[in-house]
Amino acid sequence: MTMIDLSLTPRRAALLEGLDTEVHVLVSIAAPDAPPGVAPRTPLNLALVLDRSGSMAGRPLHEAKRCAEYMIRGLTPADRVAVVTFDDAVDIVAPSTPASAQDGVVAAVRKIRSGGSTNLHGGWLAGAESVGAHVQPGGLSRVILLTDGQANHGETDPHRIAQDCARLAAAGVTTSTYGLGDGFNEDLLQLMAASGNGRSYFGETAEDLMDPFREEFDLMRALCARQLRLKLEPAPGVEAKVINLTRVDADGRTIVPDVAYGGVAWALVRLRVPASLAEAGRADVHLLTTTLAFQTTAGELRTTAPAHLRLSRLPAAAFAAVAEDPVVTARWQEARSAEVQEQAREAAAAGDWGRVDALIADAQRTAGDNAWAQESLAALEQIARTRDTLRFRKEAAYKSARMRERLYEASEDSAAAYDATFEQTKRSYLRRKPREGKNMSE
Amino acid sequence: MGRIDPSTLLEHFEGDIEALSDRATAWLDLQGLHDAEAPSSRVVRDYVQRGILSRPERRGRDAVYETRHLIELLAARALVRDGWPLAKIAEFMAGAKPEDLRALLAPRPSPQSALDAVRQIKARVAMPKEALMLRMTGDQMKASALRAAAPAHVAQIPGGHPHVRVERMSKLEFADDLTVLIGERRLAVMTFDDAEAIGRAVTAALLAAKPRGGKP
Repeated sequence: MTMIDLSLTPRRAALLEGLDTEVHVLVSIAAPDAPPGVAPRTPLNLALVLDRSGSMAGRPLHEAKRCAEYMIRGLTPADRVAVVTFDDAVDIVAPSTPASAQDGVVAAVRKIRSGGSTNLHGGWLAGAESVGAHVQPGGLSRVILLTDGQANHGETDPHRIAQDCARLAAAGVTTSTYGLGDGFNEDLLQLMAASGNGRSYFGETAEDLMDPFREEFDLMRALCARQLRLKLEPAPGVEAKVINLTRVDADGRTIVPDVAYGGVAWALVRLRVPASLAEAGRADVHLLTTTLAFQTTAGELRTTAPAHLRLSRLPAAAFAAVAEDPVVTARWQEARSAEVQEQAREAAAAGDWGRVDALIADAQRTAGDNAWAQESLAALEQIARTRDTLRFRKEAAYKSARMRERLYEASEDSAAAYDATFEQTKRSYLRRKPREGKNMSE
Repeated sequence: MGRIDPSTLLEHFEGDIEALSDRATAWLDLQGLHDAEAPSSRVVRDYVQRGILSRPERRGRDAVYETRHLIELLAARALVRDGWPLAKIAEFMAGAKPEDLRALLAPRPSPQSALDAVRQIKARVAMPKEALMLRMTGDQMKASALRAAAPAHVAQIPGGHPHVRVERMSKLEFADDLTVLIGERRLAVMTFDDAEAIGRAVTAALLAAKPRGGKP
């Protein structure tokens, strides 16, 4: 009955006899390839919130409007959409409207003109209000905010803004953000999306925005389960820490990104197992129990049956002979590279390019045979060579988030050569881009 | 007035098997959840037999059910809707903590909760400007310090809210024992549809709160 498959895979399926052991365990949360039969599609309830401040004049605003139009045209009559713009003032261009009236909404979008400074929070809040009035338990309600600038009018405190996003997410309105160019505040936009249970994307130029818009649209259309909450119960004496995901809910459960058909969401858990549990003479050792709570597309709350991890203890020679699981290794390489890229981002912000170069080299060693991670790090290294701090910070921030949180395809072979053309045959939300801020189709 | 909060039905319950069944049914109705089988007293007895529900307390000849039985019953029904077999549910219940069971009954999002959140955020964004306009005398400073500490004091009242809301109310007296209070701001923007929705919510709440034994 439960359509989500929760499983635990250790990187190496054994414990080292008589010694403390660190075990990496992949918790994979796999969605089926496609919905069974004619599954009800999640109705979308969206607010498109567009920055029309002075800096967006010309090409950026033109592209933002084109992306908005793409999304509006893709909606079905069961969906709703509102359009809000903001500069120093907030303007509800189109109040929440059933998407059957999409021609009128598109006409309103085409009339948007650029204006003054940036009341980002005010624009977001007006979007949240438009969407909030039409929240349904089984639907997906989301504010999609696009900006090229900093919040410099109205509420500007990033933590307060993020708290507000979290509050609305708890009430059923999620937030996704799109940053454009070099001048936006990536910390704020990523924090808003993380707190708002949405996604965060960026485009280096206006032309690079269509890829992420398409990706999010496909993802929203293909969602299989939302509000995933993973509960870890390590055995007494065992320490467990999730290394790729950092957010937890009020009950201490790890918040896992939404999962869409054909994709696998994941958490990489590091277990510290004391020697006392791996003493010779003991049978298989129970280390971890996990359960996953989630919401179906029909809005029903579900909980998976618990998954357990038990490992046997082996003497050193036999332990060394146990092969590593390639999928767990690939996720570990990505999670570790993400961590190093975040450090490189801080070093770049401090102007310490020597350290940036050293950290990239470190990440390249960590990435090993992971072809996509290597391709991504090569692209990052190229940006580092230009010493362009703003661009480097943005690419590193979004790349590391992607490496920590992406959905992967169950059949993906991380060690096979990376081929951008092949990636484009995949569903857009499962593609691995070499550069987060660039269109792949260039 | 607004929509009744279903979570209030999950607090301070004590009653016989019929009252338990009624309270569980009212909660399911308010959540818009429609079970294949209502949580009748027959279901409750069966679940106690199977070890899914803890045994009720015996007071003389009466069996008394409490809040934890209500939570167990609703959590078990949530798992049944998820397709769990009863034997598995009994196994799960044996090891489950109270917070695990409550997590299965998490509230569903609604326009009411989203728009309440928007209103509160708007109120906060508007507040600092007013606060800056205050010129403080000694008494005003004391008053201000007390106001700032209000949430902490309120939190010490059993069941106290994290924030105190002040709202002007209109009182509508229909009979000596029937009064309705409604916020003035809400009354000012009331539409025909709003009034109808409130009427339905009142009906549902009255039926849920009504003690058993009376005729429907």
